[in-house]
Amino acid sequence: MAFGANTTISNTGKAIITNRLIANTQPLAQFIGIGVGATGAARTAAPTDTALSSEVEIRQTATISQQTTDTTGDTFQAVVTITATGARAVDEAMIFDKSSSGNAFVSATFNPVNLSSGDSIQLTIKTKFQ
Amino acid sequence: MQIFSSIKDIEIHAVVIRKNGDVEDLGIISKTTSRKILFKRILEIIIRGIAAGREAAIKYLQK
Repeated sequence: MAFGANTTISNTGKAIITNRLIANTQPLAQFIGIGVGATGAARTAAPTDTALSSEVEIRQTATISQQTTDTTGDTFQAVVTITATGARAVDEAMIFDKSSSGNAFVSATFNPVNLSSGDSIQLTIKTKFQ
Repeated sequence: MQIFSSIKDIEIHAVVIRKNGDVEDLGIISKTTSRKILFKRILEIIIRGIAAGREAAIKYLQK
């Protein structure tokens, strides 16, 4: 598949939701990672995604909250800021349930965002349930 | 009875904060574009159209 911008909940993300519903042993989906490999890997975000193509930087803990888009509390929001430690063309991001490895909740690919060392990118990821 | 809920929209908004303090709002850089969701939206429009047509027909017949 060719590279393309897309955002999707992963299959493991569906399991995260149901796990949270039946027990509080499921870790929160609050760790966001970014990567630079989606374009090179010709990858468009898909439900089968489990990891970033080429993860860079340390995953950061997002500020997660419940928001309202159409009906009260229908949206899960995660906000994070990640600082580049080198020149990066960021083209992928994921929400995970652990600070390393773990299960993917949301997978996203997008046109490269060029960062220089010391630049930061703030991502706001909204997942709306219907 | 089966009740299905779905995730309708996922979107990512990005802001770049340059080292020198400049801020660049990139807006929405990625969002859900699954065919299933597009199909569902089309179906919703059709169903709303059918419902509106039905109401109009009922009003017409009641005259």
